[in-house]
Order: sequence, then structure tokens, then C-alpha cells
Amino acid sequence: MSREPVIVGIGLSDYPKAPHLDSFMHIAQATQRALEDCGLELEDIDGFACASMPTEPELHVEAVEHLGLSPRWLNTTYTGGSAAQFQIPDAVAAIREGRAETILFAYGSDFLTRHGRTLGTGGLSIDSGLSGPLLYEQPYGSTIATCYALAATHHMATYGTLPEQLAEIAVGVREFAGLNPKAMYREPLTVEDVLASPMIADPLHLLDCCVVSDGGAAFILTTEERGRDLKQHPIHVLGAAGANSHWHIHSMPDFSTTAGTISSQDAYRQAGLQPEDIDTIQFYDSFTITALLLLEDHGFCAKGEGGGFIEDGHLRKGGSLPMNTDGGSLSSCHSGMRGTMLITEAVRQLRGHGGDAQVPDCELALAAGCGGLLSYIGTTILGKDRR
Amino acid sequence: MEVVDDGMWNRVPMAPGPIDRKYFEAASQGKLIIQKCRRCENTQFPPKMLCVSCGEEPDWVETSGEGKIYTFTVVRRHGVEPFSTLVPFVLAMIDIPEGARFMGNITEIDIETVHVGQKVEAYSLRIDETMALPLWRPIQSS
Ligand SMILES: [Zn+2]
Repeated sequence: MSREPVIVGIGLSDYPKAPHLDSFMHIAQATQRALEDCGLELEDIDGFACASMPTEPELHVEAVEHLGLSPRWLNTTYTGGSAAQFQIPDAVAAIREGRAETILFAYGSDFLTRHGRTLGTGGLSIDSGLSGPLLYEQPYGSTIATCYALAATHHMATYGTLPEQLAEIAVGVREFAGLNPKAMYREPLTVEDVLASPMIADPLHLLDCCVVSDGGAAFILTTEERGRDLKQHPIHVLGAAGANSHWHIHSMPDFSTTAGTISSQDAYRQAGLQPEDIDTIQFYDSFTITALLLLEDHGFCAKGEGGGFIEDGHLRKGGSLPMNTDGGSLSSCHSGMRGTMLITEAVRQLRGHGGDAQVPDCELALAAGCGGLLSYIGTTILGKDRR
Repeated sequence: MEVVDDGMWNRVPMAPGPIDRKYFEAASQGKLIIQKCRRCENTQFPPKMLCVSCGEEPDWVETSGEGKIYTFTVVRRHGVEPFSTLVPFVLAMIDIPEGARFMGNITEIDIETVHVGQKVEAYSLRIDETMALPLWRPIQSS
């Protein structure tokens, strides 16, 4: 009886705009679709992984109630957008050890409906006065976008990376969005379009920044044995690890290097794989620079060579390493924390269900989440088959 | 360092705790200070109640107030006042030789020529009677 962990069901809630759903109903809808996808019932779920955004700090515990779950295993680790990647290692261990039989991962948010589009360029709303570490950032007009811009400038100054090379990331992801009928933006882009879009914070243009949307995702992890007689081909979790280097941007040790250098090595070691084995990557692309740093830190090219690697077209449809085949957060869907969606898209590709966006002969996928401000990086390696 | 009082602090309401308050009080007296541990010589910024390396209560040391731009951005769009009216402005990380990295705005600078490695000096902007916010500007070549 194999207790090796497999992903058997995936589901997405309505996106990118869904004013008829609140965050809990995004979770409920994505969960129902993931159950329908694999043929399991809500009663089969005995483990639950969910993370709450600071804007909805009790999302995870309330979601348990809304869904009517009674989990005997629970993980609510919050690391920002990489939360799912940080929860998977423990979920995998729980499945292997019999602490849980079937674990539901779910995230959902009505972010666009609730907050509008100012996520990246807004400051915090401070009523009672600022205290703590943000005293050293907020009075200077720091926003999420400026934090990533500081990293982009550093990479350009250190390695000669060009705005055109960052723009190429947005162009490639948009091409995939054009193949996703639900993606928020689907019109083809050129590098010139990206460079001509309004500058938000040098060197990041509007089209270097992700969309703000509503949306949710769920996936179901169980044992290989249990997965055998379900509706879909089970997808194996071959490696899963997380690492961090800081939380606030002012404490980032090197603005061109993330903790993905550590999480990726751990995940590759577990899987017995190298970067060149991977067929597709699903990367957190909150900004174009996010994807570039993850690319280098996961060893797909040397540190500093990401710009040239991207320029060579590897990440495009038909390239050697297609990235964000659903249109990513740059063009399709970003509702606050996207780590769960990186997994659902990797699974769709490994099943061969990618439609027009299908990566040929796709057997190994790597998903990398980025949480906070390039702070918490999680790596998950999935395989069509056990190795 | 110079303390500038434009009499119109409107950036964010500041409510620092006692340790953080020392930093902003020093800035209002023209001093840029960081913590240095008397036991293990660890320097730390932002300030904390204890030295996180050894647990000792850290001392404060005054720095030269001069440093270099580690990285920067020119902020062109901002969703919150007063920053939305200050754009474009420079937001940078500044490294000082005493071993600390600060976020700060660089003022009195040409946003077209600002660059990594540029030498800058601290000055401070008055918040209220007792506190000021360190800011930075290019070192005038003598
Ligand atoms: Zn010490």
C-alpha cells in the first residue's frame, strides 16, 4: 500500500472578476470543483491547508466552518504568496506518516471586488500611528511596487540586465494568457508596449506589474493508493521545500538573490533531479523581476544571466522551459496569494490537459512561490509519474 | 547633520515605541545613530530592545551620516497622499560604512543622473518638537 503523496483533484473558482463571491465562497467553489474533478466527497477530507491574508486574518479557521470540515491535520502557515509551497512539505509528511489521508489545499479572495486596484502602489492605511519596522519604510513612500523596483534596479546595476529583457517576461506570459479564455488581459503584447506603458517605479512599468483580481484555487493531496481509482491521473509530489531570508525589504541581504537558492536545492535533492530535467515552470510573477530572480535562483541559468536567458525565448510557448502557461499573475489572475494556483496549473500541464497551451511531452513541472517582498520562497517539483 | 523644519509634517502619523523613539529623537538633534552591542560588537538596524546576537542590551553609536546608494527607484505613481503629490521622487537603500542599510528618500538630486554607488549624506526633516526623519542628499563635492 503506497502512501506516496499524489495530487488527484484541482479546481479554480470564478475569476478574474467575481462580485458574486466573497473569499469563503471562492474557497467553497474551488473546493467543490476540485472534488468534482477527482470524484472524492467533502467527507473524505481529513486535512486542511489554508493561509490567511493580513486583510482577512481568520480566513483559515472560518473557512473550516464554512466548508463543514473537521480536519485532524491542519496547516495555516502564512508566508504570503508562497504559503502553499511552505505547507506542502508538512502535508507530504503527514500523508506518508498517516496523520492524514486526504488533504485539501484552498485559497480564495475577493481582492479586486473588496479593495480595488491600488494594491501595488498604495501605502498602508494608518489610523492610530505607525510603529515597528515599518517606521523605517512607510514615511519614505514605500509600496509593494517600490520594493520590487529596488531589486530590479540592483539586478540591472550589478549584472547589466535590461528593461527590454524584463519586458520579454510580460510578453511571453501574455501570449499564454491569450490561450486562456478567462485571463484578465488577453490582447498580444510587444516589448515596445511594455516599455511604453506608464512607469510605476523605475525600472518597473505598469505592464511589469501583476493584475489585481478576484479568484481562488484548490487542490487535493492523498496517497498513491487512494488516488489509483479516482477520475484523474494522479500527479506525484517529488520535492517540496521552503526557505526565507527576511520579511521587510530593508532587511533583504542581497537585493538580487532570494532564498530560492536554498529551497530549490532542497527540492532538487529530494526529487533526484536537476534544473535541465524540468519541462515547465510555474513561477510567482507578481512583477517581472520576481520571475527573473526565481529563474536564476532555481538554477535554470547562472546568477546574473537571467536577462539573456529570457531574451533567447526559453520561457515562451514552444520554448525549452515554458513559464506560466495559464497567463500567470502578470496577465491572468492575482487575488493576493497565488501559490495554490501555481500548483493547479502545473497539475493541468502534467495531466496533458493544457489545451492550446499544453507543453509537449510534459512530465516534470516546477512551481516556485514568492511571499512577502522577495522574502519567503517555496519550491515544489511535481511529476507525471513516480521516479 | 542638518535638521530641516518645513513646519508641515504630513507623511504618516508616527507612534514609535520607546526604542524606536530614541532613533527619531537623535535625528531631531542632528545625529544618525545605530545600535552596537557592548558585549559582542554586533551592529543592528532597525533598533531593537536587545542585541539579537547575544541578548545584551545594546548601546547606541553615532555614525558619520554619510553613505552610498545601494539601490534606488524613482517613484512615479503613488496611491496615497502626500506621496501622490510628491512624485516623481527618489526612494533608495543607503549603505553606511558603520554597517547598516537604511531606506530613505534622496532629495536635492537630479532624478535622471541618480545612480548606484552615488555618495550621499543624511539630513533630517522635523516631525514634531522631539522627533525628525532622516533623509539623504548628494554630498556636495568640495
Ligand atoms: Zn550582542
